[in-house]
Amino acid sequence: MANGDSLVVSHSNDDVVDYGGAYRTVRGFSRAVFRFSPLSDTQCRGTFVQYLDVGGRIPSSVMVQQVPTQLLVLGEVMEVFKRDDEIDEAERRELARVVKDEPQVYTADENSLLSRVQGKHEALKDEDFEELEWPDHLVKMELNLQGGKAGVGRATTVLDAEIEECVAWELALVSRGQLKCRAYTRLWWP
Amino acid sequence: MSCIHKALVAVNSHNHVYYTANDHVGVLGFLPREFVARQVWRRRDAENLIIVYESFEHADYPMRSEYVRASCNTSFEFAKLPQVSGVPQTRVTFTAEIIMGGYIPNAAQKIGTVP
Repeated sequence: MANGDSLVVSHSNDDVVDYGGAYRTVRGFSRAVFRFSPLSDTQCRGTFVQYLDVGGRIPSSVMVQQVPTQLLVLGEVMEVFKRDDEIDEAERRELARVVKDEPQVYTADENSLLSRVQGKHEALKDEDFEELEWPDHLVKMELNLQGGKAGVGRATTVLDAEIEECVAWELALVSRGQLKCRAYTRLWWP
Repeated sequence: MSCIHKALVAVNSHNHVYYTANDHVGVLGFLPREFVARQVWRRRDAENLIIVYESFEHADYPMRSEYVRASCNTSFEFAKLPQVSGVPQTRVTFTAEIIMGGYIPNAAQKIGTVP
């Protein structure tokens, strides 16, 4: 199309075809349009619009429930082309660059927040932390029941990565991978 | 625990508003918990960096009757260590105080802090 969109159209027809057998089927009718609109050199927006009449007498409430299943075809296309890992990786690289290279200016409010939380945690004495049994010996788990209303947990480990890479992982809380992971099982931070 | 909703809104490149709602599947009568927190990171020096989270109220995230508002004070401290066989090393210390909200006995809260 003139605006750069591409369309794929499908339309049922009423041709009588001899399939070489007799089937007890109800003829349905469908008319659908896929529209792909370019967003950039590497991304496009896909839209799927469908008119569907499955024939027979089916309550509209039942059909309404089926709509998402019918429209899922676009989700299947997305699965084929998805490059979530690459996009998340690029985002983390950019975050790491910001952390490493971009000078930051902090307001009094931000400084106050940092010292408040840091101060609370630094005030906890190491001897009040009790080491917990944990199957992974590379992660040290501790609990301090003296600190805070509900106790304070502490986990320590060493990662094989640059400091900026580690920070970028934590800052990318809403990466595609994170958002897709519905069964989200980080243990300490909810 | 499964995440129902998550959002991160940038105030600037080191200050974000983080919202998350989680369903604690399998715990009978335990309503989903939601957290609204400020996330701020700061480099202390060339080899140390900290990220802190602190709960606060935000007009864009009013309390909802279907969730219980929980709160937290957490921090991640990152410290650069000497390389091992050419591989960079970073020590990460995560410290967390999480108040799940609602009527939960203190003892249960404490047990809940431990995975």
